[in-house]
Amino acid sequence: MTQIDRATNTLFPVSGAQAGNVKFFAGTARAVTAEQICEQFNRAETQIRHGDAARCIDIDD
Amino acid sequence: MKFSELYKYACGLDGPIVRVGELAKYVQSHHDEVGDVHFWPVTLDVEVIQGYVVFDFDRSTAYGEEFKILGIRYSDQLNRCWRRFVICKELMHAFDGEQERTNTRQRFAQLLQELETSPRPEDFSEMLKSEYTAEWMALLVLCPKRNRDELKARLESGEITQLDVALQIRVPEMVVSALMGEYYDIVLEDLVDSES
Repeated sequence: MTQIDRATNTLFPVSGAQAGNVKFFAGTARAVTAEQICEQFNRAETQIRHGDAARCIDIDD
Repeated sequence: MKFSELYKYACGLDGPIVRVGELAKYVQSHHDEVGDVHFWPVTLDVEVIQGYVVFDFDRSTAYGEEFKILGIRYSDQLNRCWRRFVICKELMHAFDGEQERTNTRQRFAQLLQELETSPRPEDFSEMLKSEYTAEWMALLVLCPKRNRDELKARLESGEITQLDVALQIRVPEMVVSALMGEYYDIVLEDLVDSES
């Protein structure tokens, strides 16, 4: 399964509710692949799901 | 809720720094579709993406599909100015219209393809156009016209530098040129005045 497949299945499962929107803030590299973008997405979502990331409350300081 | 309402709210905030957290609270409490806004610092390769937003129902609870969360993920390596800008831009996707939303498998595939191939602007989908529109929305609310015009006058008189502007309103220095340029008023007219 590719990184794109994994990300697609997370956001838009074959059955069940679909994500209402997803957008990306581009990185600093001139050219990136869809597979690279989805690899970052999948890694971050795994972090959140496994409790390896903590929600931030104060984002301005 | 329209974007122009959020812009007016930003105009009424005190001080030179518009806090993104305050903007998010306003969106959460006034935007019919947004039940909550969550911020997640995560590990990201910033050469690839610096952040992203997922508008989704809370899959971890029994709230069901009616309670939707705007989940903003951003690199935990961003400095304060970049963090505020990235988060604010993603927050602006709360205002995406139906055609601008990436809300099906097919549209997600199309957006990814566009991000990969960098099409000509005239071939942009509405989804990709919204990425650029959201950046400008973020700039407008982070530096509303009254603040911007005052800073522009001081910048043009030589009293302050672009770096001073960036530090004062806490945005990346590289966006200050855009804020101080003539296009600011054009996009303000287009995104705020025509909507009011």
